[in-house]
Amino acid sequence: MSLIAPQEGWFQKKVSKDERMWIVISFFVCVFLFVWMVMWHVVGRQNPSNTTYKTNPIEFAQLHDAYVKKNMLGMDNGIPVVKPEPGSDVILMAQMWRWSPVLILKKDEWYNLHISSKDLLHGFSLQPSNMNFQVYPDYDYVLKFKPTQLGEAKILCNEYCGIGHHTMIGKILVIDSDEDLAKYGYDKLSTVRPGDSETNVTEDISGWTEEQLIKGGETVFNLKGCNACHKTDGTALIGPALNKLYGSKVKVNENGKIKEVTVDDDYITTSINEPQKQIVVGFENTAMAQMNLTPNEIKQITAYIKSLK
Amino acid sequence: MSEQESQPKRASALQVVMDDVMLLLFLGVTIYAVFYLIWGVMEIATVPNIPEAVKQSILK
Repeated sequence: MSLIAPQEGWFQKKVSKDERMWIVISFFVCVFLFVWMVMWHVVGRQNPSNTTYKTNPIEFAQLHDAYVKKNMLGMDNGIPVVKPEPGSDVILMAQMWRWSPVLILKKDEWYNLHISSKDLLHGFSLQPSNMNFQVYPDYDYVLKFKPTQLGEAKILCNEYCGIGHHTMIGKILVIDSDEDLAKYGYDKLSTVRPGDSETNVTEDISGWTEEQLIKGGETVFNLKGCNACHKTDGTALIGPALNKLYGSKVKVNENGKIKEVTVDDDYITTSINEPQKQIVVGFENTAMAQMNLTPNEIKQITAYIKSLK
Repeated sequence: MSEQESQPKRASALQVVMDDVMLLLFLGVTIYAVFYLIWGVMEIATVPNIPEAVKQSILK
């Protein structure tokens, strides 16, 4: 069947001269386009090709934590700042809802940037260069990266990742020399981690009633986006449900060993400050985000969890 | 008329494909889809783990 029935014996007929000419022209157009497909990688301003490795959120979080611990200069709004050596492997982790760490890179130097997600799909969008690609958990994307423009670039998340998605903005600062650090306010960084007793305690809440603490905890729970992963009606979402949790015994995975712990103030504090230390069995593959709550906020959250029946 | 001429000529496989627009469309979509899927599965299945040397250089 065809739209117009071909003439009898068309298959055996000689191809005419003009038809042969079109075939030759089409062939060279195809070759030209194919060559440009490769050439854009060299001369075009398109996403660089990358190497991909297999990993998992827990392994990558361990790499991130070790990397930050080793190279941290200080903190910028609760996010560690690192200044990697040129040519070195650099870890950048996406999680709800931050990019960690803030990177200070030298202009025209090469870096191996390892990027992965700790929880779910995020989008890496480097602005104003407009370099975009998806960041999946379980995969480590290694970009050979050479910053060529001085100044501060922003990393936006361009894949919707929950209630705090719009706040997920990371930073890459490109400098010529260490003198530039002062220009961007990175010469006097706070060296205290959020969650340490000295930080962010703006109000004395020791006199608060239990009711005030619960109300405050509920606000923190919603504002910080805990509700994106934890339900309070008994259904497990990305993380375990929080009602009827306080005082109960839960099975946790601590460095591969399963043990039973009682949910009390200490357990909740540890779970928030060091989410990878004791992971509730069954939730090992959905690593909890580092929330960086202040001691005040943890106290209020604890009161709120305690009140959930 | 000889015996050979009286028998209808059998069309070659290529001519059968060329004569059938729907078959051409089917093959054009299917061959591409199948090979693209196989390529994707091969790519995902062959992603290596992070090299131990890279891990140790960060962890140590």
